[in-house]
Amino acid sequence: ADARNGQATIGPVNARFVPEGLQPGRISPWLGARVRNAEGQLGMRGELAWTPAGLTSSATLAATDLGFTADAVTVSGLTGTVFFDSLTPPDTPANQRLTADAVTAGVPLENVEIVFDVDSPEGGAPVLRLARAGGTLAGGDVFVRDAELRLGAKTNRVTVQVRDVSMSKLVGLLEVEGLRADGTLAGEIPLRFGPGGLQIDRGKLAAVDNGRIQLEFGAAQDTLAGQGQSVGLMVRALQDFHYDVLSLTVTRPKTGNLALGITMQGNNPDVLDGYPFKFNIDLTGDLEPILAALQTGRRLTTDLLQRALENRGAGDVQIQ
Amino acid sequence: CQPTVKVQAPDKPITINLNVKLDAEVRVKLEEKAEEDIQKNPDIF
Amino acid sequence: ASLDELRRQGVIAERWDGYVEVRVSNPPPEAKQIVERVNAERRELYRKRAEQQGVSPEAVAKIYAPKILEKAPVGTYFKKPDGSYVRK
Repeated sequence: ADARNGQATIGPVNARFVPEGLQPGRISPWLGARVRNAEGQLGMRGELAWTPAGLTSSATLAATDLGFTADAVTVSGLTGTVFFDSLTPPDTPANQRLTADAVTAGVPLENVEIVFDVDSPEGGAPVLRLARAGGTLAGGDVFVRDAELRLGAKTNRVTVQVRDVSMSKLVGLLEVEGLRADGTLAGEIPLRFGPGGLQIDRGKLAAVDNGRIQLEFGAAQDTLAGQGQSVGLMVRALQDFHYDVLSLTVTRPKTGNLALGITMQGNNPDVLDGYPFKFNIDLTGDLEPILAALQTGRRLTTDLLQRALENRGAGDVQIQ
Repeated sequence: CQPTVKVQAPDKPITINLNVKLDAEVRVKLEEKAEEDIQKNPDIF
Repeated sequence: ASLDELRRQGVIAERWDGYVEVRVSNPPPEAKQIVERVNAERRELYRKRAEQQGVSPEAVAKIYAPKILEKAPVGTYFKKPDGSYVRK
């Protein structure tokens, strides 16, 4: 090849990440700051070719059973090959496909599949197009369809669809002591990736049919049930609540505090002869530590709720 | 989803509003612990 | 030189995630050892506190970070999540 025309091959490079050994930080400090506990193989092979007309490049990235943790999300068993027919600007043919055993953020999303392509419109910032991305959660499906993420844009929106999630399985995953629930959830959660990080614009999940919620406060059950007025009544009603309407709203503003709203209508046949109840429960707080705690298998005990009921400065109960 | 219209029993439901701040307790405790640990371990903080 | 001395000079920086790092390209030899020792001991303490409170070590570390900066000497650099530094 003379100076004006040439060709070079990069790699093949095969990185085998091991918990105590090679970690992404050694390859790229930028990556090292964001990704830890990496495990598994990442292979890369690239070609460069230059002619007077310019430089063309292509590369193949192959992941084999790759696992890692980034912030509060853990990925395991990421496998698949991505072919870039151009690196600068980045571009891939359609239908690049990656699968993962699980993506876990508090709760595990399993059998994950992502079908995407990367496109760099004339001079514009690269666009990641998700044809479909999703997995199974608590017996149901959580997925995104036809989403576009403009990598240069200030904000990007993606709506996550939820279908047929079993509440009993979900409660099992969340390991909430003392809570049993049945019914099926479906809905949409609009996500917004902006300068403030991840924001959730009032996601909504609702029970598609009626069902039951049973909440027991363990040792404190009797004392709480015995409390006068609203707390006692609420605790007794929730012992075996037959709902016909149940909806959850999830909101995360820029400030980062997650707000969970639960609305339930129904009755407890054993309380006030099944007199109808309507619950509006708002759980707010920096749920990131709670989600992360769930990830380390720490159970979300009802004592958090119980402390709120005992009004130790973590919440209040009104009755109308 | 469309609210289902059904014949409601005449009696008005008992409405209970419950507001819970989930992290208040944990964060406050940790902040107190932080100040204590930082005082006691000057060589690493 | 000590941790405080190297922080005052801006050789070692505090970070938003509760750990320290070497901030300059040609630090004095002991800087790297101090950073490794300090981070190891902090990691252990965050892990213990996390277990007691039932939250993640990362959440604990993020709560400690501003408190550490409060006590750190004037001149200490603090690295924010977006990678930029502020100097005390």
